[in-house]
Amino acid sequence: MRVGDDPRRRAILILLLLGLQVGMFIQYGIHTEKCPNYECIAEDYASYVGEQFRLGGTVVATEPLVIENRYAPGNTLRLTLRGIDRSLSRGARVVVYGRLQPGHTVTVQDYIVHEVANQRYMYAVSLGALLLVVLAGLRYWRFDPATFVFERRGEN
Amino acid sequence: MPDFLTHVLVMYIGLAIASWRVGWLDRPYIVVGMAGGLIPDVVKITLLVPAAQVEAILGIPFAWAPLARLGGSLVTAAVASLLVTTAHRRRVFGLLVVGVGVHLALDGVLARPGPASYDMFYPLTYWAPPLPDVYLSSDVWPSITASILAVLTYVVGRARRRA
Repeated sequence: MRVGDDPRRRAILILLLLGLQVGMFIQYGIHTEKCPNYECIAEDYASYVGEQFRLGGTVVATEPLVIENRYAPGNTLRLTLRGIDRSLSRGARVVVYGRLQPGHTVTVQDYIVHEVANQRYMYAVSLGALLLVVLAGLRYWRFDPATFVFERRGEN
Repeated sequence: MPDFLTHVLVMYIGLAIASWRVGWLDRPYIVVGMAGGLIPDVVKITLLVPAAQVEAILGIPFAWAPLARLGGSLVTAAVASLLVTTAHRRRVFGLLVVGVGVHLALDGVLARPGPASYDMFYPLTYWAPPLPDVYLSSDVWPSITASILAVLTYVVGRARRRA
């Protein structure tokens, strides 16, 4: 079937594509429910001791360094990090690769840190860029509800 | 993701330079390509509606993650290209796909602890290619560098048009 410019045909195809998209959301959701994930580690920590994972969280205490991951509403996993020698402030986002030790402690082999100020910069600049693209888009393109298309301004 | 600005500006720089050779690639199309560079970041909807919340409401497993990966990004690009007339559709889809490709490449070299990057080719494979760690999404220098290069590109482009 040629889709062409017919609004009904395009709307049907868009709905089919969105259905495919939702199918992937669910399939990936099923995939991430398989252990190991944060929930599995939180609920059965002992059985993962000795294994290596990539784990992330927000710094909630600094002496010793503790991160908290809110993996679901109302559910958190708290881990003490060993092996990070630089000082971090509360609120910094940390992602580590390390080995789980008894007592909810991780010996860190590799890590990255998103400082609070840098997170703010990232969000501010991203919001600005989004605004820039939307405004530039509307400067050159115009949505026509009657035909259900974006048209280049200056055409027709 | 690096910040949105870096993604948008990298697309601007690439397409503005390409437009010196490609006659049809004018500003409206360049802006489409810049928007394409943000497609995988539609996944940031998770900041407004966390997947866990959707799961709680629907009672089924749910993840926004496919939006930031190859499959979901291509679907988003296809949906967007159905919102223009056939006269523009191929070019718009092509530009959006280029934006998606560049975005995934820029995301692939984000610093991540551990051996691999991320499963960017989902749903083809969960394999995460081992890629170098170049920057953090919260680093300031990528957007500063991209801004300087974008201004240079703009200035050179204007000089070429006048010449």
